[in-house]
This record gives sequence, structure tokens and C-alpha cells, in this order.
Amino acid sequence: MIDAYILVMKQQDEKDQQIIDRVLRDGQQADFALLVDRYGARLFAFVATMVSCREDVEELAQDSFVKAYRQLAQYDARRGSFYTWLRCIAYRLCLNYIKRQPEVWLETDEQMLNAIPDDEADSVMDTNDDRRISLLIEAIHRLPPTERMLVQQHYFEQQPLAVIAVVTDTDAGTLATRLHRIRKKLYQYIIQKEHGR
Amino acid sequence: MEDKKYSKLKAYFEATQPQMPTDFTDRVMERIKPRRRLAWLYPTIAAVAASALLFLTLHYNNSNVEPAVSPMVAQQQDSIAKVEDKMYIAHHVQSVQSPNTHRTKTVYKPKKASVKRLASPETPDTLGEGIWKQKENVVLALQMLAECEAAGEQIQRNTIVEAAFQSTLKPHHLQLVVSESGDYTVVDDSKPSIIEL
Repeated sequence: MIDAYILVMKQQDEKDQQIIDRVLRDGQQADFALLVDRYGARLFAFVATMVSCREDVEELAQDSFVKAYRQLAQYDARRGSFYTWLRCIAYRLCLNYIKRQPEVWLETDEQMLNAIPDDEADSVMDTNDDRRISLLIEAIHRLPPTERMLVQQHYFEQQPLAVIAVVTDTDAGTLATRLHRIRKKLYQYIIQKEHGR
Repeated sequence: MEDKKYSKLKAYFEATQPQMPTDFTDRVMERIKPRRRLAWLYPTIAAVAASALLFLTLHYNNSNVEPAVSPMVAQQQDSIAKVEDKMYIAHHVQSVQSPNTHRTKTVYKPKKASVKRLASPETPDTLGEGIWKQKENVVLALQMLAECEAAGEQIQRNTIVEAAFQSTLKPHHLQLVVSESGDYTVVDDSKPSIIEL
């Protein structure tokens, strides 16, 4: 599955590289719009997982593309796809933004987290129950921005942890540990709500 | 790829997220464009920057200035070449033995065939040669040109060079020409043999 993902991404990357070459070598600035069209929605969704205010989401998403355009000569296809590089830029912009925005995130009881069985927490996302899904969405929205982004990228955009690790400048093992802890938080929130707490 | 396992959860989550505006690409491209509100500034800076360079190029050798293209003394070639290399003014430097003196002169020739003449009736008026006497203006203009080139803003960079050339006092038979690759050169109309076509 991961090989198929990488193959699809490689094919996409070649077309991205052709566009980038035209922008850089031939000065075809308008061609950059093709990349914005291609990745705009996904990048917008990526930023939206980390930023609550809609106006700020728009601005940060735009900032990401503008910065990518100005630094386009620095993009190195050998290090990853254009979309991965784009997300790196967006991630850093969002982190800077988050530092300036004080918000309250999901409260967690550490003792309770440790007491949650791993197999129960790991299956928290595997549900089709509408009520539980609503609670899950609530809980996801109350996660810290970086954790919310991790959930969105891994579960909804189905990005391999190795790719997310490049975006966040960490390693896949650390992300796997974080996801495990996030699942426990979500599970804890759901159980508390279902039991009226 | 588990594309269906979390599809319902994903749909619920995405329903709670803000949607990208339909004109997102237009907004990004608008920000990438060179800023029109500085259009009044660039020609002025253009006049300062390019005229300073042309002033140095044309008037450095104060004795026996022949109507050939930009004659320079050989020992000044390094410093001028650095500036001109930065400014993309000329790329071919050839040492020519002047028939009238025993000095080695540097003649600048267009880079390739099919050079085109500049016809820039829209080139704005400039402040005249006197502006070059102010060192800070020259420094500022050079900074502007460097920024244009770093940002890949070819159009603005060309505007700077062309407008400044028009503002300088120069023999009428000297013309500024640009090759297909965007390199500028001063050529002498009175001696077509110098131009390689």
C-alpha cells in the first residue's frame, strides 16, 4: 500500500517538477497557479486543522504558497515531493501563529490515560456509530493544533508517518508514540461524555 | 491504503472545517505579482541604479574616449566586471588594441545573435544625471536591483536598467540592447562592425 502511494506520488512529482521548471527557468510566473490549483484545497485543510479562526486559515494558507513561490529555487525534489515541502512551510508558519494565540486544549488525566487498555484506545477511531463519531469530532477539535494536524494527516489524508515526519521535522517512531497517546485522549473524552462526566 | 475505513469519520470532520474560498488561487497569484503601488518608485530607483553603472562604464576612462563601445582601461576590468556581472550589463569582454593609443581596451559585445533593440517609449522620465552624485541613491538603487534579481522579478529589473539608461547623458550613437537571454549591452551604432550578428 505504501509502495502504491509512493508510486502515485512519484508520477505526480514529475508533473510538479515540470511546472516548477517552467516557473524558474522560463519565468512563467502564471504556471505557479497550476500548483496552487492542485494543492490549494489540501493545504487549506491542513492549515485549518491547526488554526481555528477562518480568516487566519486563509491568510496562513496564502502565506504558505507565497513563501513557496519566493523560495521555489530552494525546493529539492530529491528530499521529497512538492506538496510535502509545501506542508513543511505551512507547518512552520502555523507553529509561529499558534505561539501567539493562547487557547485551552483538551484536559487530560494522566493517571486515567495510563489506565486505559491499549487495544481499546487503538480502536477508538474504528467506529461508524454516529453518536460516537460526533464525540470524536468534538474531541479532535479540542486537541492541541499539532495533534489535531497529526490525526487529520494520518487518518483522513492517509499520509504515511514517514512523510508526516518530514513535514514536522521529527521521526516516524515519535509520531507513532504521539498517535498512541492521542488515541487514549480521544478515548478518555468519549468515555467521560458517554458516562455523563 | 485504508481509504474507506475512516471515510465516515473523515466526512464528519471535514463538514466541521472551513472550506477554501473559490478565488483562493487568484488571491495567491495577486500577492505574487510585483506590487503596482511601487511602480512610481521603481523607475526612479531604476534611473539611479542603472545610470550610476553606466556613468561608471562610460566615464571611467577620462582620456581618449573613443566612440567605440564602452572603452575601459584593462586594470579596472575586475571591479567593473564584478559590478556589471551583478547587474547583467555585459557578458562578453574582449581586450582590443586601440589603434589610436597603445592601451588595451575592453570592448563589450552582445552575447549572441539576434539582439533586439530597445524601444521603450513608455520609459518614465528620470531625475537626470545629477542624482548620481548622491552616493546613498546609488546604494539604494543597487539594493533594489539585487532584490529584483533575488526575487526573480525580471520585469522590474529590466525597467530599472532601461529607464536609467535613458536618463544618462550619452552620445546619441550609443544604444542599449538586450539579448534573448535578457543580457544588456551598450552598442555603438556608428560602428556596426563591432556588433556580432
